[in-house]
Formats: sequence, structure tokens, C-alpha cells
Amino acid sequence: MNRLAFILRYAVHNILRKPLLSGSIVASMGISIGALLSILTLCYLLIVEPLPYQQSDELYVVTNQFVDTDGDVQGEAYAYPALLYQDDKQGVFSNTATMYYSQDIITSLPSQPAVNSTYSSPGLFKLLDVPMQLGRPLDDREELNRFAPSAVLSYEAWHDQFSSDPDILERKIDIDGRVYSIVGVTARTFHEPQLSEIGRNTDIWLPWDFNPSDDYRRTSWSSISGAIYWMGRLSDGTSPSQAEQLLTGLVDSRWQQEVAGKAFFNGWTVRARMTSLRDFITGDSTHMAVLLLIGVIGLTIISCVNISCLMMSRAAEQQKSMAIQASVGARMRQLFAGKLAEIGLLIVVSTLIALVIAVLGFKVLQTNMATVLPRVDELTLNGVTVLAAVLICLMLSLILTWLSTSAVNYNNLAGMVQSGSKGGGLHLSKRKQQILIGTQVAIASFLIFCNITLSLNAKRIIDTDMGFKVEGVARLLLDDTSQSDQTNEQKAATLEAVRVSLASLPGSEAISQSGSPLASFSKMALTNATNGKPYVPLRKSIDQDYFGMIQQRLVSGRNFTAQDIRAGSRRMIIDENFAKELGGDPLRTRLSTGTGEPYEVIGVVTGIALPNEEAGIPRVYTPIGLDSSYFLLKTDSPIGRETIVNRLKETTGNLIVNEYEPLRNAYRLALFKQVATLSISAALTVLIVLLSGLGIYGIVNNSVRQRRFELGTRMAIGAKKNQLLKLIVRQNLLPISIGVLIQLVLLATVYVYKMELIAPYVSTELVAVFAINLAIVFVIAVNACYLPMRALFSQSPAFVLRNE
Amino acid sequence: MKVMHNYPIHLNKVSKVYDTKFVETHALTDISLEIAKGDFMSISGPSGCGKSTLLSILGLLDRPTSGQYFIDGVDVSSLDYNGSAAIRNEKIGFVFQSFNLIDELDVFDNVALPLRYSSKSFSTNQVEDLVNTSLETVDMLHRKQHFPNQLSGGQQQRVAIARAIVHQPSILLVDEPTGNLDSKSGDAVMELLKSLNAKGATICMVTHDPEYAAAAKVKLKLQDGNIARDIAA
Repeated sequence: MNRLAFILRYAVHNILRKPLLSGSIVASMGISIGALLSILTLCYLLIVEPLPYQQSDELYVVTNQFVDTDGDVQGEAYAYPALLYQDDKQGVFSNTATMYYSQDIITSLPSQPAVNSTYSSPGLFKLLDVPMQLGRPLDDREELNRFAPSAVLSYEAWHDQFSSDPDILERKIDIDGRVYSIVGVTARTFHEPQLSEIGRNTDIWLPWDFNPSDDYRRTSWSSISGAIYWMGRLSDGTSPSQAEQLLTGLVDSRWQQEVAGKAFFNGWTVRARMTSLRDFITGDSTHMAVLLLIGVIGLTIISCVNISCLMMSRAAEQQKSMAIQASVGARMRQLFAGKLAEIGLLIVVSTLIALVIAVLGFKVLQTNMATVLPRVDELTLNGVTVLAAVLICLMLSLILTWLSTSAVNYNNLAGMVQSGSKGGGLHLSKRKQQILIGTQVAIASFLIFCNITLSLNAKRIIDTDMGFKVEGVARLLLDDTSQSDQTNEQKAATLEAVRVSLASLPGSEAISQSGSPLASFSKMALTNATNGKPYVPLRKSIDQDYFGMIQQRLVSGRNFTAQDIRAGSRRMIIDENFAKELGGDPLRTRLSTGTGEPYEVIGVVTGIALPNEEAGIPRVYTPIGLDSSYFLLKTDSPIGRETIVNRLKETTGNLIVNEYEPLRNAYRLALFKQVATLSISAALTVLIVLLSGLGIYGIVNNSVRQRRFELGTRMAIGAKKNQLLKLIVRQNLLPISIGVLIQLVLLATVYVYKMELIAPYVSTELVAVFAINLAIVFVIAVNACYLPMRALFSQSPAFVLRNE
Repeated sequence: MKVMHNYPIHLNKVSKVYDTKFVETHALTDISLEIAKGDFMSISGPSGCGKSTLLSILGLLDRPTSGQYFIDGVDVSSLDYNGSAAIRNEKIGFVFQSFNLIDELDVFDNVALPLRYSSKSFSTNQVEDLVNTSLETVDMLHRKQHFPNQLSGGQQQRVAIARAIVHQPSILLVDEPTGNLDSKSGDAVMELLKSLNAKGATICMVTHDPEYAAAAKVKLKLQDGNIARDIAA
């Protein structure tokens, strides 16, 4: 016990004697282990940890794929009646849930907040066994066709919008002109599966019956909706592939009957596709998490190598005291124990700091990556994080102690006290130095290469010309709160008044009754009225001011006129991509939807490319219905939401502002993943260059220190600066080259075994990236060799020869 | 500046002051001396008298704080790093107390080192001839394939002397050449130096051993950074 106390006391003394060194070790290890723990926990959550629902591996999301005559999937979503039909007739799930994701305004609250609403069947609450903070979940009382106006709030909505009112169950809320009774609040611990988009959390659950689908959608088998989802718990004894076959048989035969009259769908089929809830939620996000993990592991190794160098030079400094201990009889394992205590204490403190940093890392991920990475709101310090921390702590302590003490030649240690020989000291073998440099270069070079590739790819997407401009344009979405049933004409008249009123606002440049060019495209099934050839372009409804406002250029033909819009004429403007698909001169081509008069192509505009979208997607534009309650507003100076709200109140009492958002924000959000990748890669590259530069400098500096006497002799003989520098560079050229070779092997391994991970980045550009990568490594290496030599050159050869 | 002179080495009022944070140490004060071609000069004196500092300045391993230093009539007091390196390589040969052979190089390459750093380019044959001649002079030709750790102290010092003379310098600067040797090996090294001097080499040797100092033609005694006695042989 006494001995242990002595060892610990001596270790603490040694740590405190060198506060700067100890501080640097604790800080750099704390940060890198912290980052590693944070990303390791994320990877565990995404790859290993089950979803936080009972028997979550039995939960599946089903989608319907619409397959054309060529076997190509033309759409993956639901026709509204097809979903309800499957939900009613299926025999493969023990429980099911239907969900419709939307956004609404709570008009009964003074602030009229926009909230994320989910219209769901009560099955959702059974399926996920949703824990409740207050009241009850939606249940049999809210079954299909009961039209019971009940609402369940999320914990966050209850907290944020209702100040955690304990009497919330006695309150009612107004949404879209309907009054709902609040029957429950979900528990804080409940994490809903984010099916529609990563980062979207529901604020309020409402019964399925009230979802905003119009009558046409509710009955049309040929119109699909991307807002609908269906999931279920697989019955015992049914496999996913069996379920897929059964559901496909069920939905396809009925769908075929329902669309039999539509020529467009001749030869088409519908098939059900089952995806486990876990895969549906995580998707390809695990790739991003694994890439992040590779990055932080690399950084941690670089940090460890740097710390090893510091530790070894510290061991060199402590050589005399070790020699004295050896001369009075300390055995090797006792010296090892002493060193282990010192390094162990430093690593334990680093690990404790790392745990704090990991928690901060979770917060950073939750704040900044909630829309990119799924399940980040489930991130907490858990057993896995702590276990990983303990293992990392143990492993690092042992490895660093071994590296520090392996430089000690125990047999000569005791003799050192007597000889005090010139040029003595702990010598790190040449082989170890080369291994350390090679490791640094391989990891740093590999990471720099990956980071440059990721940055360039992200930058290419960010820099892609969309084919239209969003500067100064904002999207305005209005909600109708009137209880009275207005005719379309009455609605159109109100909206025309709003249009005129908003156009007269100071600063207003133009107004267009159209949706955002960054969203709101839906698929449109068309058939060439002349030759019967089918097409499925994307469609947006616009007015005559849309193209001018976003500067999308007309290539041929003409734009819509106000008369076209007012009359709702069957005219269509297509983009160049669709024109190419049609072939020949597309103007005056007649395209049929199967109902009503065919559309006539009157103009061709340039194609557009939305962020993260493949190039060349065909699009068509049709006249908007004047009862559509959304606008694009272009201003020469920003106009606040309050101004819009007030102007709207002055104009009509029937409409409220649901959303007023500059398109620039939506554009930034769409590119968030790329901007985040670009910033993270750039920051990582700088960090890697600094850390690895520092690491290689440390090793070379150590080697120069070891060779000081020899270098002094060479100086005395007349070696010039460049001759000495060449000597050091030559010595390190081999491990640097081996490091680059290892990097190539790593890249080839990734290419062979993880092709799907890097496929988007493979191009001839990679040769140039590799050249830049080599140049960076070369600059790091030459500088790391030059700096220790510069310090040597600044001293007189006589001083160097004294080996001081 | 170039002065015409009969002496290859000429020091004019050279001083060296070490200015540390708390104290100013005058290692050498106004030292003036000349070493003629073919001289064998010994510099001796008690520990700390400035012997090594003087030798460092003579060998351009350190710079004087003030004064002038001429080698073959050329002022070398204020040369830059590479200028000094070129003079050391061309005109000076060093013999150190602890031999300073490079462990990783064999005897041949250790001796050839000054030729590798020379601004003149030597062919492989020339290098071989010069190194062999030099090793023959010190009677170590038979050991040219050996590495330093395979040689005795006396043999290592002979190899160091071969390295110092391989490029036929103007002067040999010898720092305590027998300090790390037993008396028999020390005597042999001294004999070798004398024979080199007899063949025309100019030697300046620092030693604290009075017997070896006495072997020189010119004996210089240093005391507290000043020349105490200058005794002609």
C-alpha cells in the first residue's frame, strides 16, 4: 500500500512539475478522445442499438412502387385509397399505423405558431407503445371515420407553446378552422421515428380523418401523395418477403381494376416494398457516420503519435532520475509501474475531460446535424460510451508507457550514472522513428486525400448553377381559417385582392401566384396525344410572372398570359430536358392527362437543377388555379413577417400567414449537408496538417537531437546547410514514401471493399487531388525537417559539438 | 579584406565574450598570434583558460566578439554559415578528443567525408586515391572496411587524423588528441602528429598535458583568456 502511495505521489509530483507539458497532453488527448467517443456513440446508435420501441425489429415501413412497362420504377409513394385498402385488407401485420405529415397553424394561440402536425391512426400509439406525460394517446375513440376531434401534443410543443400548462387536458385548440380537444401529451423520453425527413419532429398528433387531402385525392387511384406513410408490426411466422408478395398481390390487382380506363397506365404494375423501420430511418446516413468515425480515429491516432513523441522526449529528460533509481536497485517492472502511474493519471484526467467533450459533441450534433443525421436526439452518455472510454484509457496508458520505457536500455541504465557519457540519452531506434513517421504520413495523407475529395464534391454541388435566381424572393403560404364554404371564384377574388395589396407594399418588386421553385414539384402522368407515348415529368403550377421573377429564361415559344391563367387554359410550358425527351420541335405538341382536353406546349424554358438532384430531370409548367393560396414575393429590401401579417389582416379576415420564408433560407437548408461537409472537411484538413506537421516535426526534432553530435562533426568538417538538410530529408524520405504507399493500399482497399461508399467521388479529378495531396504531404515533411535544422543552424558549430 | 602575409594563420586582437543573462564572461581578451607555415604550436593552460574557445575560433566553429582573423591572408572573421563551412572544408582539418567518427559510416567513408562536402568535384578514383593515401599515412589502410565500433581508441584517433588530412588543409587543429587514450596509444598518436609536421603539415594543438605540449615547436600558455607565455622552441 505504501509503495502504491509512493508511486502515485511521485507520479503526481512529476505531472505537476511540468504543467505546460502535462496540460498539452491532457488537452490534446481530451479533445481527440472526446471527439472519438462522441462519433463512436453515434455510430453505435445508428448501426447497432435497436430503435427505442418494443421489439423494434418487427416494425416495417411499406411503400408502393409504380412500375412502368419497361420495368422502371416511376414513383414510390401511395395512392390515398390504395393505402386505406391495404390497411383494411392486409393479413401480414398484427398492428398498423397510417400517417399523413403536414404543417398547420394553431390559430387559437395569440402567436399563431406554425407547427408540424401528423394525422395518424390510433395504431401508431399502440405500435410504438408511446409513453405519455399526461392524459391518453389517440385510441379506439379516434378510429377511422369516427371524426373525433382529439389532439395529442408532444412534450416539446406542450413546453414551448403552452408553457407546460398542467391543466392542458382541459384546453382546446383551433387548427384550420376546427376545434380539437387536447387529450394527451407524449412523454419527454419519446422519440418518434422520423419517416418523412430527418430532423422533423411532430408537435401535434391529430386523427387521420382530418388530414388535409381533398376529395379528389381521397378517391383517386392514379394520384399519389408523398406525405403519406404506412407501417406495421409483422405477424409471427410471416417473413418480410412473404409479406411483400402478399401485399403486392393485394394492392396490384385492385389498382389494375381502378385504373383500367386510363391508357397511360396500360402495362403498369404496383408492388409493395417492405423496409425495416430501422433501415428506413437510418438510410445511407450510416455511411456519413462511418466516414466521420474514420476521420476522428485518424485524428486520434495522429494525436497519439504526437503524444508518444512528447512522452519519449519526457522519458529522455527523466533518464537521469531513472538511472539513479536503477543504480539503487529499481527493477525494470518497477520503473514501468512508476511510468504507468504517471501516464495513467494523465490519461485518466484526459478521459474524464473527453467524457465532458463527448457530451458537448452530442449537443453540437443535435444542434447542427439534426437535419442530416437521424436519431441524433437519442444521443446520450450511455454504458457503451463509458465502456469505450475505459477501454481507450487502459489501452492508451499501456501503449504509451510501453513506448516510453522501451526506449530505455535497462542494462546500461545503472552505468549511466557513472559515465555521464557525451551523446548518451534515451535513443529512439531508427526503426521506431521510421514507423512513427510512416504511420503519421499514411494516416494524415489518407485523411487529407479523403477530405479534399469530399470538399471538392461538396463544392461542386454548392457551385452548381440551378438555372434560376432566388435572391430577394420569399415564399408566402396562406391558410384559410374561414368556417364558411366559399366557392372557388370567391376564394380567387380574395386572393386577387391579397395579390394587389401585397404588390403595393413599399419595397415590393413583383408578386407571383406560384410555389417555390425549390420545392412543390409533383409527378404528372402524360401521354402524347398524337402517338400515345407516355411520359412522367415533374409538374409545377405557376402564373405568368413566375419565370421573370426567378430569371428562368424562355428559350422558344411564349410565356403564359394573364388570360391563360384566368381561363385555366390547357396550355403548358416545358423545359429543355423534357423537350429533348419529346424530340423534334416540341411547340404545339399535345399532351393528355387522360381526363379533359390535352395540354398544348406553347413554350420551352431552360432546365433547372435543384440541390442534390440528378441533372436533366424533365419538368413541365401549367397554369395555376387562382384559388391557390401561395405566392412568391420579390422585394428590393427585406419585408418583415409582421408587415405581411398586418397587410393581410387589412385585406381579409379569412386568411392567415402560415409561412413567410426567403427562398435563400430554403436554398441554404437544401445545401446544408454540402456546406457542413465543406466546413468540416476544411477544418479537419487544417487540423490534420497542423497535427501531423507537429507530429513529424516532433519525431524529426527528436532524431536531430539524437544526431546532434554527429551533425556537429559534419559541420566542423565543412558540410553546408543544404548538404545537412538533404541528409535529414533523405533519412525521412523512405518512411514518408512508405506512408504514401500505405495510403494507396488503404485507398485501394476502400475502393475494392467499400465501392458503394466512394462511388459518388470516383472521377479522373482524383489524380489531381492525389497530386495536391502529395504536395501537401511534401510541404509538411520538408518543413518538419527544415525547422529542427534551422534551430541547429542558428547555433555555432562549437556549441552544437558541446552537445548542450 | 585581403592582407599579404607570410603566416597562413593570423589573429589580430581577437576577443570572445559570452554574454549570459546574469554575467558577462570574457573567455578571450585581445589575443593576437600568428602561426607560420609548417609550425607545430601547442596551446596549454588550466581548465577554463579559454583553450577550447581559441581553438573553436581558429576552426571557425565560433565567431570572435571583436578582432580580426585571417587565413591565408583572407579575413574570415565575419563570414556567413556557408562561407565558414567552405573555409573549414578547404583549409582546416580537425582532430577531436573524442574522435567524432560517424558510427554508421565505415572507415573509408568517414575519411572521404570532407571530399564529399567539398565545392570541388572529385571523381570516384580521385576520392579513392586520396583516402587510401591518407589512410596509408596513418597506417590504417588495412582497416578501411571496418566501422568505428570495431576499432580501438588509438585506431579511431588515427582514422580521425586521416580524415583531417585527406583534403590537405592549410592547418590541422587538434583538440586534446590523447585525452581519451591510454598512454601507449597517446604516444603513438603524438608520434604520428610529429611525423606529419615533419612532412610539412601546420599543426595547432590544444592540450593540458605538459609532456605533449613540450613536443611542439611553439608553446603558447593561456591564462584567464590572455596569452601568458609565448615560448619559441
